[in-house]
Amino acid sequence: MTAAIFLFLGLFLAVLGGLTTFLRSDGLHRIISLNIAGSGVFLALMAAPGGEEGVDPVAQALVLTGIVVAVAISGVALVLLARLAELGGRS
Amino acid sequence: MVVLDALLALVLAGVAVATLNGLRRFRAVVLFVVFGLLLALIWARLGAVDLALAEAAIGAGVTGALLMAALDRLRRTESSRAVAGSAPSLWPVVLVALAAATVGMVAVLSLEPAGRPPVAFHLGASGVDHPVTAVLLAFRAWDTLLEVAVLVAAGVAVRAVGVVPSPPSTEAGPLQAGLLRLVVPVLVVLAVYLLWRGSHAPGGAFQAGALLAAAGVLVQLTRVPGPMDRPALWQRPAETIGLAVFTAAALITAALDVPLAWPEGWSKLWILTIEAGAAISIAVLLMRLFAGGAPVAAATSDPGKGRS
Repeated sequence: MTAAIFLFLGLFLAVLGGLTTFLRSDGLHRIISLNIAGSGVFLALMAAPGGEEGVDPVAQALVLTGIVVAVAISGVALVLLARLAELGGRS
Repeated sequence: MVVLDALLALVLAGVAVATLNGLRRFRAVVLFVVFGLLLALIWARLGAVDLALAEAAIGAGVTGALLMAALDRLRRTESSRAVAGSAPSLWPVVLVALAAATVGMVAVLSLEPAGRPPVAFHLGASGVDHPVTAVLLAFRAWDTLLEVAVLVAAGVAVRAVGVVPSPPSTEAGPLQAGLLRLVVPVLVVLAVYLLWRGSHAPGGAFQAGALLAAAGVLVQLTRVPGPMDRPALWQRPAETIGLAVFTAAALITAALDVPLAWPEGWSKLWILTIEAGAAISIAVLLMRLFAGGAPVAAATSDPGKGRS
């Protein structure tokens, strides 16, 4: 039951964040939306039933890698966004 | 406990909708940090302790700090606190997401459960006792090597964007300085503990690196200029040592036998050495992302140097 609840939550967050990324015009809100969509994908991946009890270490390692890559990408995106605003562009 | 899980899921969904709804950036950033901390609780409920640690330290902590730093820079360039542009109504999106999640959940639950990779069976061969660390640094070490490379690439990209913007001239007060003296040593000790612990229990290079980065961000915030604002000889070596050690290990093992197959009996030493290097690089690269650019003096004295 727990797995089903979190699977539903993960898929909900993935779709919600993914769609909002395209709907918002503000850069900062878009980056946050993308992060929420990513978290949703991670959650769905971890909550999907694997046939055995306990957590799958391979999935956990995969999501751990995903979290670190997400923060790296967000960091670069935020710096680009701030630089764009400083140069007088639309953020 | 299903009630608790359902409640947690409901609150997280609510916080996500609140984060995505509305125009104010500051509100969205604060709610996103709350979102990350709640997600860390969910990871703990699912039994994924490594992810709970990483989410709290990296997902909520470091990403929150990066968002705050960007918010500060945006505020100094734009006079308005409110955001230009409109926020679309979120309710149709919520309905679509609910429908898609229902369909998706039914579809996934109807699938035959996939067999798991037999990590526990081969754990003895990896040299460490914690399955996640074994996957990250023994069985799938290639992935982790490239992940460290992604972080280095992010650091290079941030350096290339331009110099660190001049920080607001706020010297640390006595309270901040005192807090720093208390918190930074504790964070460093905790980071070393998490690194060591990673060989037999949840923990490891990424959680340790994030804690070190938190200590570094605190120093960056309280010193004017911060350690990442001016060029220093240690910065580039520290940014690349993780990738360098990992690549060297890959080349040495390739010469011996198979790339990234640790010599039998010595794998724990190899893994801990690589993790220590990676933790330092992760910490300094996350600090570089927080600082938001190349060190200033290097870029003014030699424009080519700061942009490499």
